[in-house]
Amino acid sequence: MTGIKINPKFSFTAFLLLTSLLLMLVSYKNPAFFLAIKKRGYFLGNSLYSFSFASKKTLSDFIESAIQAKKIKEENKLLKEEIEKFIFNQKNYYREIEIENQRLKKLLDFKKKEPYDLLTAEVVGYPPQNFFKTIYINKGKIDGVKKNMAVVSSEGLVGKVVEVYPKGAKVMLIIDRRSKVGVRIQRTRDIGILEGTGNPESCTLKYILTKANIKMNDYVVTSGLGEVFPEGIVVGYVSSVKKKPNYIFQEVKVKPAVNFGRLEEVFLIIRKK
Amino acid sequence: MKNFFLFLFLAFLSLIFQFILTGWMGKWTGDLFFILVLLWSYYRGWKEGALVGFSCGIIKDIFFFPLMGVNAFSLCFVGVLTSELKSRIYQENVIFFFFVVGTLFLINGFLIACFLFIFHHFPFFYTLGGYLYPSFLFNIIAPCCIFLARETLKKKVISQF
Repeated sequence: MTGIKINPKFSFTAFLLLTSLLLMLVSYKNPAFFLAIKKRGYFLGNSLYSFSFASKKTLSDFIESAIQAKKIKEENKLLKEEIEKFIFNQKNYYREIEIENQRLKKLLDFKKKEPYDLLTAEVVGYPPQNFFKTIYINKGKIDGVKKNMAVVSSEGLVGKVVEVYPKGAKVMLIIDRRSKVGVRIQRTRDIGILEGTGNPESCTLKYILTKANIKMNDYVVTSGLGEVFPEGIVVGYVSSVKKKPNYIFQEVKVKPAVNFGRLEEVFLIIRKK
Repeated sequence: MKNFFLFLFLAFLSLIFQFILTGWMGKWTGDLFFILVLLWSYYRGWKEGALVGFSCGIIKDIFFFPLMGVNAFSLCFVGVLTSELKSRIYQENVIFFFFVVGTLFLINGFLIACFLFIFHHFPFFYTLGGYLYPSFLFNIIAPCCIFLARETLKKKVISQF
C-alpha cells in the first residue's frame, strides 16, 4: 500500500501559515488576549519613540537655541501651553456657551456650563504604517489616563484614548477609518455621526437628513451623546454638501479643525471642574 | 546556533531602528523586517526564510499592528517565495534582485491589505497604497544596496585568492 507523500516544504510552510491565521482569528475574536504581551512590549517602544523624537527635537532645538536664549525659550513654552489651553476653552467653551445662551434664554431655562479640566501630554510617536491614524502620547495610567478619554488640541477634537500603558497611551485620531464620533451642526443643532476616512483633510458626516439646512463652513461640534466626548468641542467645519432628491440623508463632508500633521502637544479631558 | 543568535541580534536591531527611524522619517520609513526576511531567505533558503519571516512577523504584529498574525503570515509567505524565486530563476545580478524585491514588496502589501479588509473593513486599495507609498523607495533601494555591497565584497575576496 502506497501512502501519500507530502512535500516537506509545503507542509512546513502550511503549518506556519495556518498558525498565523489562527493567531489572527484569536486576536480578532478576543483582542484583550494579546494585550498583556503588547503592554510589556510597549515599555521598549515608548522609550525608543521618546529617544527618537527627543533626538530629532534636540537637533532642531540646537539650531533654535543659537537664535534664542534658553531661558526665554522655556518661558515661551510655558506661555504657549497656557495660551493653547486658553484658545481651546475660548474656541470650544465660550463659542458654544454663547450660542447655547441665546437658545436657552429664549426657553428661560438657563444652564451654566463649566470649562474643562485638561491634562497636557506630548506626542511621542506615530505608527510606521500610514493607514492607521493613531498617535502615542507620553501620559499613561500613572498620570490618570483612562481608556476612551477624549483628546483635544487648541484647535479642536483630536481623538480618543484606545490603549493605556503605565507611562503612555495610544490615541485613535478622528480621521482613522475605525473612528466614529457623535456630532452636531452648531448652527442648526442637527445630529449626525462623523466617520473618519483616513484622509486628514476630510471626514464623512452621516445621517444628516436631506431636509436639514446645512451650509458650507457650518461649525461641527461634539454632541456629547455617546458619553465619550464632552459636548461642544469643535470638530471641524462643513466643506461640502450634496443633496440628492429622493434620498433620506444628504452627503456631508467635514474638514477637521485640527492640523494632524503638526500635532506636538495635546490635552486630555479629565473631568469637569 | 550561531545563525540563531545572529538572527536574534538582527531582529533586535531591526526593531530598535524601526522605532528610531519612524520618529525621524515618519511615513517615509521602510519596513526593516521585510528587508531582513527578504535578504535572509535569499541567501539562506526557504526553511530559514519561512521561520525568520514568521518570527519577524510576530514581532512586528506585537509592536506595530492591532491584529496578531497578519505580518507573521505575509512575511512567512515572502520568506518562502524569495528562496523559491531565487532557486527557479537563478540570476545573481542586481536587476533580477530589484524585480524580486519589488514583486515581493507588492505581494506583502497585498496580503496585509487583504487581511485588514477582511478583519477591519479597511478599503483594500487605500491600505495597499498606504503600505506602498512612500516607503517603497526605501524598501526597494535599501536591499538592492546591501545586495550590491555583498556581491562586490564577494568578488573582491574571490579575486584575492
